Amino acid sequence: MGFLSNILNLGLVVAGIRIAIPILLAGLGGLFTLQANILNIGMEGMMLFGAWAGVFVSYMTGSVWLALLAAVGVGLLAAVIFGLFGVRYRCNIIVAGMGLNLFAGAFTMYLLRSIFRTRGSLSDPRIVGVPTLTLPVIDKIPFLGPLLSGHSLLVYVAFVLVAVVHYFLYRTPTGLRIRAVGEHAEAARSVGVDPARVQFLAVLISGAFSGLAGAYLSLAQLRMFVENMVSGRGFIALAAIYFGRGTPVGTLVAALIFGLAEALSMRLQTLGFPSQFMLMIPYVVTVAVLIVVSRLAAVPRRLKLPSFTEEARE
Amino acid sequence: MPKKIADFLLRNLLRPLLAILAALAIGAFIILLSQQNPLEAYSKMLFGAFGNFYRLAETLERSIPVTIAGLGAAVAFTSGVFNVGIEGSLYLGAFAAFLVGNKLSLPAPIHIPMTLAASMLVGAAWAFPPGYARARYKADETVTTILLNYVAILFTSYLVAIPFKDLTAGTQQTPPIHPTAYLPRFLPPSRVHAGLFLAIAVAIFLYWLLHRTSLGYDIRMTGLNPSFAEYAGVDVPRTMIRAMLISGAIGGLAGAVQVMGILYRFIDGFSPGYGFDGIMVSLLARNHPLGILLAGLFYGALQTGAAYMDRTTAVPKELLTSLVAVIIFFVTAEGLFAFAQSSEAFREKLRRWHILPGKSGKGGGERWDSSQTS
Amino acid sequence: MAQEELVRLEGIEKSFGSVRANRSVNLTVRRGTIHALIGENGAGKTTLMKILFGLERPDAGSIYYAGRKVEITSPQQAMALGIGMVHQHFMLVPSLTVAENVVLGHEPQQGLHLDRQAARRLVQEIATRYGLAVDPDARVRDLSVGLEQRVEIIKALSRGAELLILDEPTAVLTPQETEELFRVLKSMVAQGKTLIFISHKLKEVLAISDAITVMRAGEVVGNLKTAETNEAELARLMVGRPVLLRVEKGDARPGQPALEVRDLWVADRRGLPAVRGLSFTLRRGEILGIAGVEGNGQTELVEALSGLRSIERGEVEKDGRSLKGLSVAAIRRAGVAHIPEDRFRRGLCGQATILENMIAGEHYGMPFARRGIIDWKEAAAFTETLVKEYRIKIGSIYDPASSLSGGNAQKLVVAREFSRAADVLLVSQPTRGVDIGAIEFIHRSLVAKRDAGAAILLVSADLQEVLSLSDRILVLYEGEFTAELDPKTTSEEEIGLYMSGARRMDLRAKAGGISA
Repeated sequence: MGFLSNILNLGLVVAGIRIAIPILLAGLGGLFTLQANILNIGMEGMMLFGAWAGVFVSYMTGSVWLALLAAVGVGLLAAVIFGLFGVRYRCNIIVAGMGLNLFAGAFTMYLLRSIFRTRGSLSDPRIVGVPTLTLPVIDKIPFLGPLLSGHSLLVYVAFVLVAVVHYFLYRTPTGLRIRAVGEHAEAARSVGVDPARVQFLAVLISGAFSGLAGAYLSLAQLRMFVENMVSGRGFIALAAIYFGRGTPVGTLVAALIFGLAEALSMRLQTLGFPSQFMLMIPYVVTVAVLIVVSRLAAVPRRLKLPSFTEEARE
Repeated sequence: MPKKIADFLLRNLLRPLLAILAALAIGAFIILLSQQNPLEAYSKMLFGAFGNFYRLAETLERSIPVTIAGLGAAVAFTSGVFNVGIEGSLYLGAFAAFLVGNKLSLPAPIHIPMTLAASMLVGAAWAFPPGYARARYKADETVTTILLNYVAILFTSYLVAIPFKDLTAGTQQTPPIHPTAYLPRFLPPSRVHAGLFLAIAVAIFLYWLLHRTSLGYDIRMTGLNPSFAEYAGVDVPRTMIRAMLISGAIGGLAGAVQVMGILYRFIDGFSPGYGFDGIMVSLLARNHPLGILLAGLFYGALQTGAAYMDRTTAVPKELLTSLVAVIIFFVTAEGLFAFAQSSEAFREKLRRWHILPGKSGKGGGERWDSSQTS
Repeated sequence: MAQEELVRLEGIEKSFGSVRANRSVNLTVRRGTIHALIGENGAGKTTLMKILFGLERPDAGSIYYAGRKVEITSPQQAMALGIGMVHQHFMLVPSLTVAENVVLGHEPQQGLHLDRQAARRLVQEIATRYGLAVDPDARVRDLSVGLEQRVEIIKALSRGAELLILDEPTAVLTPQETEELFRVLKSMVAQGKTLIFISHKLKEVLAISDAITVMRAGEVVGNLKTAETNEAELARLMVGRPVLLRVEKGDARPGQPALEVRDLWVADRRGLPAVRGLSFTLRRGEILGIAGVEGNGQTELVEALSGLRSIERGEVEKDGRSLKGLSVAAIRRAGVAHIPEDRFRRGLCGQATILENMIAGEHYGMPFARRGIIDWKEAAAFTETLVKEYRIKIGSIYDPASSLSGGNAQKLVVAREFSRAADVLLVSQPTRGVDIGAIEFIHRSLVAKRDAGAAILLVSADLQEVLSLSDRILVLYEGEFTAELDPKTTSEEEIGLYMSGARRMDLRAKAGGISA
């Protein structure tokens, strides 16, 4: 019992939530591209650019707000590259995404080295992190206090954004258009909705979200930039979207599960357990879900034959 | 026939060449912005890649895994399956190579082929589930293979951290393999090893397979027009699965040569993304096996050249890696450099620029959608 | 009743490559009427309507709407004018609700909000006004085809359509749904809307329309008042073109049965029965023609026989050996060749070379491959021979197939399929979009094949072709045979009646005889 409670305690949940936030933020953005029928491999790169821009601007200006703005802006810029080649010039969308990731990985390192003359990472007291928020009353309640209070501001923003994204996708005309384009582009075109424009918009939105997710990594979780610090979280976000069946709430649940799994694996690792298997969970589960879902969809529709008596056969 | 050759060269060389030039121009601009001399940087890079025996040897050495991984990617791409899982096959293949290289003790002529075969077997097995799910259920192979890469890397990371850890080493690595499983190095003192010939052999084999055999015909037609392939009696799902198996096997091989030729053991996270680089190389060569040899060499040269430039000038090597992404964008973008698609379109362009005499007219009746997947 | 005119098309011309889809077409539609536009497939009806709806631009000619000359360059513009179109393939997003589909593109807004209440009201308003009852909150994917069509109509009306173009609206409906649709259409006309009704079902046209325009081969061949015409006249106008080609052929000498088909059921893409219990025997040395309007199960029949589509029920035997469940390759090996209806999608690979296209299907074994290795020398020699023999105009056999013209592309397919050792030939739309010279050539080749003892199943939407080539004709209507006819004694009018389902022979006794 003592051993279990050592692992499965409130701290684990809190850690899980914190790990889940970048996945959730990027995933919420990725929902737009998913709904618009774009395979968004490029979130990884958008996040990395966001992480870099956040640290850079925070370092330069000392203002975390400008830094967050810059992260979103640079995420958007990366999305423009992705959208330009993926949607406008019709590179293979996968190639566009992989290209962006490659570019982000290399170019952020290049910037780091040519501007700061340092490699690997950039940490400096001048980098201002995202403030944490202490909720006035709840803070005092045992259990709920540490669970709900004292997180980074972006944690609360992320949870609010789940509702916002849900509202936007399902309650606004633009959301309707995104869903329509993703499911049946021809139908949208036939009523005067330009699929390419809507898809580009979806890419931009995902860029903004990914930028914010990146800033969470570099300004809330760490307060430094480390080369390739996204390390696959963009893909986990993609996995979370698929695992959550393309809905904001589903993505939230998936992100939390993946976050908890990672937090648990870190705990287990400190106790000498191999963490790798826990870390595999998001990937393995998502692949399994993808395959099972495709399999169900691929079961051929059987012909409903009229009964023999109906057919006038002796 | 001359027209055919001209077309071939245009389609396969002019476009990448233009893309490379455009990317280098962009790079020069960025270097200027950082107040460095682009000409100096590029000439250092060129020297770094080809300048003397050692530089050239390093380029070759660096090209080997990337080229083989690129060949693996090309088979799957040719069949229309976007296998991004080369990296996973590469890791597992490398580990299989370590296992056979370390646990068995045989004379080299048997040990080497067996080790290679084991890596291919494991690489192919790893590519099978996503391939099968793609072919039979249309499960998106890109997403599944990307995610499975992580599983493979984590799995080998576990193996090397716990059951097969070399306790004498500081880093996470396995004990060495037997020297009988070493791929011979033939350009001492450099580390260039027989994997180079293996890469060339695989490229030639692949070219032969795709263009001279029934299976190759199946693979190519499945990629070009599955509906036609089906009509011609090709079992399209099975062909996709076969292409994935070959792709995974070659991916496994790419991992094995690194273990058998350079590392002599398995090291956690030994690949800086050879599998992904291989995909880039394949895209650059438009999946042509012999073109991949060239593109792989280019890639290797870029890496070693950039590293040299990094050491000798104030321009970081990462700039060149970012330019690779730019090149890939330019090479694969429809509409950009469209005139470099065929000699007819090219002449048309020249006419329009008044370089060739004659009136510019129609561009050729296109009824088919000429856009090619990747 | 002389209603004022709403639409006038004058001298509309439209060509696609060498095919002239519309030749100086004139059409006048009067306000408050149902105007039927009829003709065979490929007669140019849909092209004409796409021009009116702004989906295609005419090469020449002018459009007048409500007395004004207009240029219609996009569907949006057409909709702004008050022209709506219900496509044959519905443009609906399955997972969205009816109301969402209706308002997509012109969403009512309340602040940032999509005003769902207003959307619902809009649907209900139109629904009650024209008797188009449908639940605005239902998901489209849960609706029947008939209801989906209603949503399409509501969609068009919600955008203020005064003129509604309905492209083959009854093709997908059951008889009951058709009746329901007609009731709706009549109520729409009663409230001042104007309808253009594209169809080839003569009975329906006569039942619903006020005026009829008949098109054939891109031209208008008749403008009639519905009250003053009848099925026979329409059928004659629709199909009765001057005889361009007479195929020289002797009498058939039908031999042993090559293909036996018994109670064949095949599903279409959506899982609905497209071929319903067909039974027939194809003999050596005969051309069996399948006549019928496209979309009545021909595609599914041929694809099932060639192994491209699975057989749900029934039996197919070649020389006593079952072909059911065999792969395409196995059926090819069993001696069945197939000229597919869509040569550009199925029959050829545009990016592959002519040489590669020529050996398709024969690339596994002798003489072009040995132990899985292709002998390109042998294949090239063979291709060169065939190119000469079939007079296919090419640059080089290493050029991509996409460089070929329609006629030459088809000759390539024909050459390939005829050159293989097959004694059953499934031939689908062999001369569609092909120039006269190539048509003659292909027809002569077909007859020569027959005389050499091949069993040929000919499927064509071109009645003239079926009549002049076949030794026996089966008429296919909605997946069933409605008649077996002798081309020597029948006429195009008679076939037309069976094709449109207006008449039906009792073939059950006959078919029973075969399948027993």
